[in-house]
Amino acid sequence: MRKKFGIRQILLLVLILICLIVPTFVKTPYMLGIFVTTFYIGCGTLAWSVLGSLTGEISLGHAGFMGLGAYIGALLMNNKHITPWVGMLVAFVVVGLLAACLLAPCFVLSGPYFTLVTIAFAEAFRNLFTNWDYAGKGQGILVPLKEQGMYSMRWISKVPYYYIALIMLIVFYVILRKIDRSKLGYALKTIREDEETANAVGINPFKYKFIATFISAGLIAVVGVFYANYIGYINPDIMKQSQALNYVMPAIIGGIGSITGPLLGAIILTPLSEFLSATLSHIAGGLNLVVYAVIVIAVILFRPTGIMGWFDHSKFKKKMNDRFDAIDAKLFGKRG
Amino acid sequence: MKKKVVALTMAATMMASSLGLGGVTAYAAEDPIVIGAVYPMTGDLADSGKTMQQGIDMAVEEINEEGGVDGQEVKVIYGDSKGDSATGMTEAERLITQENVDVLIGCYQSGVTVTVAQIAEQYGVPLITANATSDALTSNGYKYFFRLAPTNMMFVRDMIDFIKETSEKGSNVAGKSVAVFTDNSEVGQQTCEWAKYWAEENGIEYLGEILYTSGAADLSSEVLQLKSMEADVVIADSYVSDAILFTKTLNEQGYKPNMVICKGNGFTEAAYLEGVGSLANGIVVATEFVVGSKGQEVTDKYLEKYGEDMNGHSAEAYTTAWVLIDAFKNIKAAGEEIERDSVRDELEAIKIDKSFSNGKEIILPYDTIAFEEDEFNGSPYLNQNLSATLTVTQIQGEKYVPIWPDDIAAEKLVYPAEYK
Repeated sequence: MRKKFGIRQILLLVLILICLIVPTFVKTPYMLGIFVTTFYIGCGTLAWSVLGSLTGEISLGHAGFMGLGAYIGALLMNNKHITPWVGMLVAFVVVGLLAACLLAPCFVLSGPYFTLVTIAFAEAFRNLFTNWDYAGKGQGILVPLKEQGMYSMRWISKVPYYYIALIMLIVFYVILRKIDRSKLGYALKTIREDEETANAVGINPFKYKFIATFISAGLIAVVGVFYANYIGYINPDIMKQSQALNYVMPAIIGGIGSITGPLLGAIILTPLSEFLSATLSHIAGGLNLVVYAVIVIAVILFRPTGIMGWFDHSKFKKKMNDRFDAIDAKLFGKRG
Repeated sequence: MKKKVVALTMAATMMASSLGLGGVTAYAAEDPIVIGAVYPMTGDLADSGKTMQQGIDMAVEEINEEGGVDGQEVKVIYGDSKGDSATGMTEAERLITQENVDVLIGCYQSGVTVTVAQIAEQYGVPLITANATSDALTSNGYKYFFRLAPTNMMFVRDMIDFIKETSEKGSNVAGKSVAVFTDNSEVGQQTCEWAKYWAEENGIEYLGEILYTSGAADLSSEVLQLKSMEADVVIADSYVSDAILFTKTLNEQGYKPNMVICKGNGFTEAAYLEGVGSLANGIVVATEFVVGSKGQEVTDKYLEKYGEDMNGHSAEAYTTAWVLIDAFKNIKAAGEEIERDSVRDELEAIKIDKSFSNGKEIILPYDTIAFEEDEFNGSPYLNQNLSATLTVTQIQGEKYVPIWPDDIAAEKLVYPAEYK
């Protein structure tokens, strides 16, 4: 059945419109900053979930790939004066290929073994960059604010970053939706469920995992280029494994099995952690982290499939669907 | 359904109240002067963050007990950097735009300070760092960035001076060659660069460096490599957890260098001696401050208040807060309002000689504080407290004892180090 324009699409458009006009109401850079962080973490989570959700290969090395992207963007801009927009493309292709080629021999590994390899690669990159003169060694690279504007992707104001991050998020989500419903998506999910069966029905796991790694690492490298320009300073610490958790946690909380889950997780977790640290951390140091951890543990304990995992099977969803259908029927009449 | 409505309302109220709290803008005359401070309050550097917080808190308490700056109370609001650059930046932004701070103190790690300094410059908020030692920080030409702490260059300069002087004076002390043991972070790499530079300047052989990754679980192979270099003096620079592991590994591997001289940093945190105990006896530490050299009254008070000795970090944080207080007083005396720009201008002009306005002497080993501009070995310094110098101490009987420069020395250098 082909979907037609209905109340769901209208709601989505309204949501996007609201997002577009947020900067006219939210003036404080701090609040805008939280939006930007939420968006780019969301992008990172989506990129991660191409491997993590669709293919079922848990990577903890994505901070490394993001860092690589960030370095490519910053080095191109600082040393060759090539705009970060081109940097994004270069980072996508180079990091995607590099990650796919490096990880290709490891596709035979599964589960935790694959995860360990990804950690090792990220760590190797971090060590490389801490000792590489051209990349500023451990001191990292400052992306100076000398020239502002579209070409250098550098502004004092947060508003341009807000829109870039928002558009990036929408684009990433659309890409993921497309993949999810394409032959590629079905192949990846088949591999996730049972690699043997996939092989038997003519899906080459190696080929598809290669493609998935390419897309996943490439996309997060694009986020890296954005990060470098937004924060204005990068050092090898951004490749730490703990940074990778920024992108994995939202997926686990939101629900690993789908595309919407990771996105939802990012939208909930980032503001939550900011809110807690702004309100609780001065009462007692670390209190915010305790509360945050309790919330995360509670979700994992009681909803191990994540928020979307719960939602997909809940009565609430069914009710909402029924109600939307009723509104659709009223607005557009019966459909065949 | 009802439950859901209640929950939603609660969530909405929470959001609204948080937004409302942040949106305070108009200040009456009796509103406090607000200092924002960005430090790692959580994570593996929380120990150090807490130390600096205590120093600032004590200074601010003192001024408020005196009745504030010309009747105006001073207040500190803290931001938690979690030891991460991006978080530090968000927190600095929160303090600047939501809490409306007049001035920022901050950042322990140089990597976090870089991003916060950038933000401070953008918003035109003066930022003064008490502890970040990376030389590059004061060479960006930032007009709103000030530094009290001696830089890495100054640290290593004084350490090598000490090695040279003691080896020339004491016939049994060997100081012909040095090797560096440090982490491969920004600060560590600078320590290596300057050690090489100063060693060569002073005719000491520089054998090379052993680098490790901060937070490593094991340092055995690194320590063995260091042992094989057979340096007369080992120069070390580590954060506290690495410093503990390093000292323990020296013992496990049976390597007893005749002299290890460390950059304050992790080796002066209270947790360090607790962690290694008598194994540290004999280790030489160059630090910004040591109890027993100056300011007995202040250190006694600190010990009584927090149950631990004041160290370089807390002494610097304490002094930085007092520099700010004196700057506030000067602005008031000139009949101006305390604002971001007036604070910046005052910091640029301020010169503190021997003692602060309340009559207490500067407790750090130098007598003048002023933020000056200079150029050194090709790298520029702007708004750097260039008169900063260091004290060299040795851990003797599980205590830091000042041994250099001679005028504040309480004991003589124990050589070779005993490690027991």
